[in-house]
Amino acid sequence: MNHRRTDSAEEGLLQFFYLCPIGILEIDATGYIHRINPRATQWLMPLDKPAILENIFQILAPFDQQLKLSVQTSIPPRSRILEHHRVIVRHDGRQTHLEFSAYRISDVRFMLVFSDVTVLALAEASVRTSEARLRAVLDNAADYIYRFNYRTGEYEYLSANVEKILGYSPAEIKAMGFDSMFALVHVDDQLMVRVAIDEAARSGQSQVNFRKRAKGGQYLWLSAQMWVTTDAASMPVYRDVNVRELTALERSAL
Amino acid sequence: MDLPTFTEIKLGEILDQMDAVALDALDFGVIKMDLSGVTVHYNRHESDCSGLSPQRVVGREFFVDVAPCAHNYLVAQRLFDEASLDAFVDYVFTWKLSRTPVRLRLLKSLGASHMYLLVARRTDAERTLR
Repeated sequence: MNHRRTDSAEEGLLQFFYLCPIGILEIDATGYIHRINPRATQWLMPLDKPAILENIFQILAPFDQQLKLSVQTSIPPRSRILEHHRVIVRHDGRQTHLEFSAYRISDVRFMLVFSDVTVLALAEASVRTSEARLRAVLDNAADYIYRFNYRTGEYEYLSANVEKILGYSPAEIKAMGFDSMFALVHVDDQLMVRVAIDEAARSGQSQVNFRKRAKGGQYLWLSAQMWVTTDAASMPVYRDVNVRELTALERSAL
Repeated sequence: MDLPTFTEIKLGEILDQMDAVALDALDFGVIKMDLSGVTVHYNRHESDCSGLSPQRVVGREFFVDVAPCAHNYLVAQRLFDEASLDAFVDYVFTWKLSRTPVRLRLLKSLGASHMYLLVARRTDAERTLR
């Protein structure tokens, strides 16, 4: 009876490892594989030309050295050695992104856990491409755009084009802070700008034309369009502002 | 009568003609399944190598209940998806999480009611020669 229960428990445990959607390996410091679950086999098999899955470091050698280095330079006791380590492997012209974590489980044994994160990696690459495109559009626009965070009281984003208009780089403006930047507004226009900011916080948007001193000392005529985002309690969270330099024709119409 | 070898040409047709006793005499593993993957015959050689009795395997879905380590696109999916098949695959079984390098032969004849998974253990010597 006990024997039967043990069989059943063992089968259940094996089923757990068989169905586990991540790859699990138990290796020694040389990379020799002592235990392996089916999912790991499935992912590693195409990479191993003799298809024996004997040594994980040899299998990954064409693609990665960091995993081997981390395991072999780790020191006891039991500990996490590496987490979220991406290895890009290539097989039959296809790229697969595997993400490894490594743990020391005894003086001489290690556990590697990994999964195929190719879909996630492709999504991340797509987001990066979109961000780069958007940034290029913002950076090449004639206007400059910034986002001010009401909660932190700091500029959260400034497009690179601000330097072409005001002469200050985004990093300089972030370091100077809002009060210093506001002080550059012509003294005769400061009240008008303040009213526009308050109006945006109250109604959600506003617009104002004003003069601001550039880094070179000259005053520029600028037009700012503001939009304010609020939270669930109607408190302002972000002020997004699009600023452009007014043309001579527009200035003459003021 | 000479027994067929693992690499025998037209092995599927030969196996179809063999009864259970003859299949048990072969020196490589034979798992005979119906087209839904339910095990019809689990020969003696494979039983001796895996430690699983035929009674424990026959009548069960092979890739679900017996060898989930081969339930993937490399083995099971090929057998299920392809109308006819005779392919050799170097593979690693992970029975009880231990590695067992094997050479598989996937056999399926067009219109047949059965398909075969044949298993030959790869020895160290074989691996070195390759």
